[in-house]
Amino acid sequence: MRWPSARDLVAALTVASLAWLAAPSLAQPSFVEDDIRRMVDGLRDGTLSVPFASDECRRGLEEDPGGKDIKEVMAGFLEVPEDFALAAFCRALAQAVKAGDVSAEGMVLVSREGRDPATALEIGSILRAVYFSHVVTTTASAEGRKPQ
Amino acid sequence: MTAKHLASAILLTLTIAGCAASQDQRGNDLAATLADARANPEKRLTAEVACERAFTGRGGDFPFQAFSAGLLNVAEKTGDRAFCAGLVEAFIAGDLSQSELDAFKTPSEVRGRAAVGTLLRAVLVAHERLNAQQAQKPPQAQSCGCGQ
Repeated sequence: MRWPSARDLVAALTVASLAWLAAPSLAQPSFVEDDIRRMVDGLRDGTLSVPFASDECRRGLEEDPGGKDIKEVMAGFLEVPEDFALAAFCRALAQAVKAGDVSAEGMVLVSREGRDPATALEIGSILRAVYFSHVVTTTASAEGRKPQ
Repeated sequence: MTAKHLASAILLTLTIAGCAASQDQRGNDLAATLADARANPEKRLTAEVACERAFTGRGGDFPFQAFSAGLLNVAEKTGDRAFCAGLVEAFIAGDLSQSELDAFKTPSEVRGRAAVGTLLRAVLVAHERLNAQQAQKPPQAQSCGCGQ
């Protein structure tokens, strides 16, 4: 299996940030990295809401050819029906960023398309954060309280 | 800006499918060893070692050990070991069924990608369970980590 293009792991949230940021071309890495940092800052200081970011993320992925694969994997990983997999993934990722469990530095690292262990480790860490963010959210929902 | 970037994380997980359930002889041997461990849990360690050997000899340019370390939040050099321990635990505990492992014998284009997500989740959950069990043991019964 080929190594994936690791360029923008953060697609979901980067896409989500576009409308908010009116970003310049993302073809240039420095812009991507700036956008990632602004997106993280926005989620953490509240100027970018989790629901907005999640929704934009989901819509972006649904329009992308690669979205189908992501949907299938996340359905298994997050244990949700495929129809809800992208929404669940995007929300969990946005929550994890907001909570500080996924760092801007980590997302920037992954966005650089590295094929090194450090990048692979970061991707694993992000998936871990997404999983536990999802578990916290769904547990809180089941108990009728708002996720922290 | 397209929304495909996020695919990096997901596609990395697809690589794992090729590791954990490869269709070569090594993968078949591992599947047989896992099945044996489920029937004979006292052979857990044997299965873990066989799994580590399968991963170590896998080749390829994917730094799986680092990815596992990130996913399971362990030191990078113990990533393979932790993943294998989680995989064996998940299989013995019944979190992963034989049919779920057998699914990897079918090309991903046919079986879909959900099995990869299921595998990762099962290993992650099993790893956390093993950690919790280890933490509950009295100090003298805990692994000393000798030689690590």
